[in-house]
Amino acid sequence: MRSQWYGAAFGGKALELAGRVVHPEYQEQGIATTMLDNLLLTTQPEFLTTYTRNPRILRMMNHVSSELYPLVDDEELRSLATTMNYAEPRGNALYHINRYDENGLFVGVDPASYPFEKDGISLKQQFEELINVRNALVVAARVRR
Amino acid sequence: MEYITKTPNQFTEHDVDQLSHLAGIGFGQGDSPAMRQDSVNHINASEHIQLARDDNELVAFSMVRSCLWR
Repeated sequence: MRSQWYGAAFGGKALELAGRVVHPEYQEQGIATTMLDNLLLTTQPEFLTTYTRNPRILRMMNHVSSELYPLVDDEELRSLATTMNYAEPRGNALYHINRYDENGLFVGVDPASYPFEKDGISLKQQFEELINVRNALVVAARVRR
Repeated sequence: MEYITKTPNQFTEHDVDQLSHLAGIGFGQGDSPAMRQDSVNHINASEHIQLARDDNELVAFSMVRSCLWR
């Protein structure tokens, strides 16, 4: 199965969260979650996808998902993730290798140094290719109904 | 907090400036021509961009693309 990306129409069955930032002084206020909730209300996709090395993004997606690959090994979600541009299987996940330049996307603290779950292991321990700051995890989620 | 959604062709230069500035803060890279160009590229590759403003200052954005699956 292959997905067909298209640029003009809106309201496809899957949405890619392609880039997002919340000002540091406004984080932990639910702004990103509110934006995501608004998006889902408007577009009603079945799936969400993204590339990330930030556990906050995974938590935001998990808030609206019934299953989130690669946190759960779901065959359909893995198939969807496989169709995403530059997705390469490595170990227990799919990655976009060398997505970012040699300094990585984030200057300073790398968010992959933090865990997805409180008191858990860091994201880059959980998904080993994230040890390289150039790499991003390929993520696919099934939207909860 | 004000939440709005724009398509790339609705973006003004001021919108691009604000988004690029916020991206520079978010990724710790500051303002630079490269960051602005990268922001423009991402905006143009998106179908729409959600914006959150507080007192007319951009405090968050989210870019979205869509696809068909199956």
